[in-house]
Amino acid sequence: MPPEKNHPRDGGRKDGGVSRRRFFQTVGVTAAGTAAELQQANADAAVRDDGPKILGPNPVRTRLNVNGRPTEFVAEPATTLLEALRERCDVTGPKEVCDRAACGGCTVLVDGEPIASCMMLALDATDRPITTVEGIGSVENPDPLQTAMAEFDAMQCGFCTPGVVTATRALLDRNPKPSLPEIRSALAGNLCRCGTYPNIFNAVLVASGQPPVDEPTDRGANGGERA
Amino acid sequence: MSGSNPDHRTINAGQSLADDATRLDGLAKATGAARYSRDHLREDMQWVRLIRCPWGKATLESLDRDAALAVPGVTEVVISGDAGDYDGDSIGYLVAESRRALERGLDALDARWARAECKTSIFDDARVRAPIGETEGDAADAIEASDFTFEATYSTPVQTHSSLETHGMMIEPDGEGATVHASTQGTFLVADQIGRFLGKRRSRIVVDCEYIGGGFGSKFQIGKEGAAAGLAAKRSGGPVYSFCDRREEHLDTGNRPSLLCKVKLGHDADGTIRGARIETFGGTGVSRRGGGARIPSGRFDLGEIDGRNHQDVQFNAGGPRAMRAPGCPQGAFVEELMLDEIAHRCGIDPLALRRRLDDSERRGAMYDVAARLIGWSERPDTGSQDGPMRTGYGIATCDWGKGRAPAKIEVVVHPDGHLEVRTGTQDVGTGQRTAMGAVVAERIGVPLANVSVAIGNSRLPSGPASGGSVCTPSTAPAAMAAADLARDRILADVAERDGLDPTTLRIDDGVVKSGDRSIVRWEDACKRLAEPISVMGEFDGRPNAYWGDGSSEGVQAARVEVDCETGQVFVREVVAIQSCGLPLVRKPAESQIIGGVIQGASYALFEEQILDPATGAVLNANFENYKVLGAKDCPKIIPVLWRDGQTGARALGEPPVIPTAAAIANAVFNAIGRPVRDLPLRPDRVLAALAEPVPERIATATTTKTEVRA
Ligand code: FES
Repeated sequence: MPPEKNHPRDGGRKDGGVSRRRFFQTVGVTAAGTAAELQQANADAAVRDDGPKILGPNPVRTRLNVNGRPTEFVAEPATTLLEALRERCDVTGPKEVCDRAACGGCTVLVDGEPIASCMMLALDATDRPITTVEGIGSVENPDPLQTAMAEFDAMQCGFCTPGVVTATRALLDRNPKPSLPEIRSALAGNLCRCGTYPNIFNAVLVASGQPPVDEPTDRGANGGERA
Repeated sequence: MSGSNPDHRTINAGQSLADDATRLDGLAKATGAARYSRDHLREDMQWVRLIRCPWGKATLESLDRDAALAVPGVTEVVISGDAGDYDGDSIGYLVAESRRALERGLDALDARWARAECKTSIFDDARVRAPIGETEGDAADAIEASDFTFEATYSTPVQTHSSLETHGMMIEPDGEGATVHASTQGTFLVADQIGRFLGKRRSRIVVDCEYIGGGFGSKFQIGKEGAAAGLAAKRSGGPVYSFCDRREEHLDTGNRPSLLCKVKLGHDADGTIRGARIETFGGTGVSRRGGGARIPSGRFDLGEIDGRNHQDVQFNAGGPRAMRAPGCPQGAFVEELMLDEIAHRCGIDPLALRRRLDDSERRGAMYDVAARLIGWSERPDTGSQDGPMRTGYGIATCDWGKGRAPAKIEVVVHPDGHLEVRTGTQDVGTGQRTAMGAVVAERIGVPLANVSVAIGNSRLPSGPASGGSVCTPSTAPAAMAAADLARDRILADVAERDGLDPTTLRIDDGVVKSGDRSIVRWEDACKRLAEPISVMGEFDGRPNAYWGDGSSEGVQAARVEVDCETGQVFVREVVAIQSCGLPLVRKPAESQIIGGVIQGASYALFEEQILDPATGAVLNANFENYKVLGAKDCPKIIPVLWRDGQTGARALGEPPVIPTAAAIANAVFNAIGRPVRDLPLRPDRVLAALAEPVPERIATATTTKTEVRA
């Protein structure tokens, strides 16, 4: 094992680097195109004559439309959509895992598109339809995709599952019969540490009316006696 | 919807106690209804964050406690140290009313550190760099007497558990007591550990861990984040939320330690191994122990072994914790690749060599099936290929012990026929909840739909932590005992009421029968109960009527393709055959095998913690540059549950992760003709190996004693 050289540095974390959240905190929010929020913002929101309109740093009124339910709360403008959902809206399906869009655990649909909710400000999602895993279906009334996930045991600990379900629901919405490579690509941003990918693939295939991969083969029984 | 992978079904049908059952909490997990420990959030809770050293070794020069306390929302700053010995070492913690206040408080604290010299690699240690030592004892004579000697050095990296739910807990104090929502793989361990920080008696503490986002061995201890949470909750008397972020998770919640292994062995031209000296060095960060590797595994006859030569080597990084089959994947990688190197030198098929050196009958049968399923007959001669894309096949093995622990399972029979199974033991993703429900349903003779399972709470009957793969083998006998008590109680009622001999009665698919005659439906039999009845099944960890027979053994075979222009390795297919005695519920059991293979393949190809040699800072403590296997990298996996008539539940969680990296390394050797002796099998290492000559075959060399240095 030779000494390691030339490994990628962790993105500028201490030597003068600026973390994403730190960046948000520093600049507040440039509220391009968010005049509506501005009007609702608390008196602290400042408006400069010569530049972009500024929100924050003090809390502002924030309005979200989550799974068809409008909600309103006051939060710092730097609040991410993920934080808003989990900490302000009691919607805990989306999970905080890496907090930098590297794992897919926080995936939600905004305007029907899958996004990492840890990388979007709550303010930027104002009035746009947000669908979380809870909005796709419930235990009592599950989406066929969710039923297939359970049937194919596409979860172990299940912590990645909300993000996986959300990302694959978006895939099926734009591509009703995805191929296996298309499924793999759609899930390239969703990490599952327990290792459930093959079962996820089959759940998605069957939920889209296709046969699961690896059709029965003539390889025969495992050589052990039957129970 | 057929509800199962037909390929699995063809191979595994009829192998488990419950072949078609689906996970009882599958829909809860797929709809977001499952509330994990980290999902317990309250508006009025306090947030806790540890103050951590950012370098491999440093002393605190200054910090501004007053400035931090002056930040609105910051409620407490506790400083308990002034130096750190690794990136992520802690010197205190901060408490604040919100996440934002916490972050501003940490900024205001403005901790300044003076960096010191540190060790960032086990190669900083002279013992590691030294050549292998003199062989001692009988092994020396055995090596001396053999025709050939073989020497090589192997290494494996530090791997982090990387559970998706990070370590931590949310504590809700409530007068004399408290509820602790902990991300743990030991419900009752948390109850034991948190009390002294929280200042509450154990009997007043309720631990809830109904849903846990992975642990893999790293969540037996409450850790510093838990201790700080307890102290903060004690001080404030209110709810406290303390979870690591992803970076902290990589730095300070344990890992699989690195291994360096030096081997010298003596063998004959026919592959017989007469003796070996094995030296191992475990890279344990700042910990003094925990770096051991299981080599030799005992699965192969390696002759006389001089093998008690292990040393843990410290350097400036966070210490290890148990990780899924501790010490085993690294040991298997060394031992199995070494066997393939010997086989190559002797011109023997590695499968044939294993059959000779491995006397397990069960694995003997597994070798045949693994070879058939992977297509071993297509395996090219090692070193025979040229061209950019080369295919390789490799095989490796595993076994696991029979550890058990005491466990209790309560079954409550309700007058409406509902069976409530109660167990405090946690389900970390293994399917423990479903397994317990299935055992009770199957044993009593009613459909699983009649059963619900309460799990993961210290108010429920006690059971083991999810470690050593003992959880299922220990709780299954208790569940069987409870089910028998419940069934016998109901049957005795039926017999008495209907004037029948209870020994003639049984329950079949929800109907009480005497011979072929249906007597009464299960629900109707239960209706006669005045109130719910409760029975407790107990297992003391020792052999009893529910012990059964069985063993955990496995064989895995891998097929890879190697791009010899880029050095990239693609794992195309893994056949994973695993016995675990009597498998309980087929689908989650197969998932355990699949998951083990995926983690093993990830370990083989991608994972390694990287320290900056200049500063000791960990350079890849997040998922964008600590690569774990993703959907596009995932091979086709054929999990084969191997029952062959075994009747007792045995370990399944850990063994399947053991052989995968070894099988892949052997497949890469087969493909490119040169061994890559260091994990992960990175492109640069593959290319470097390709620049070396194909190792010599001794069959063509002279038969006189030859020193071949690898
Ligand atoms: S099921 Fe545990 S991380 Fe995917």
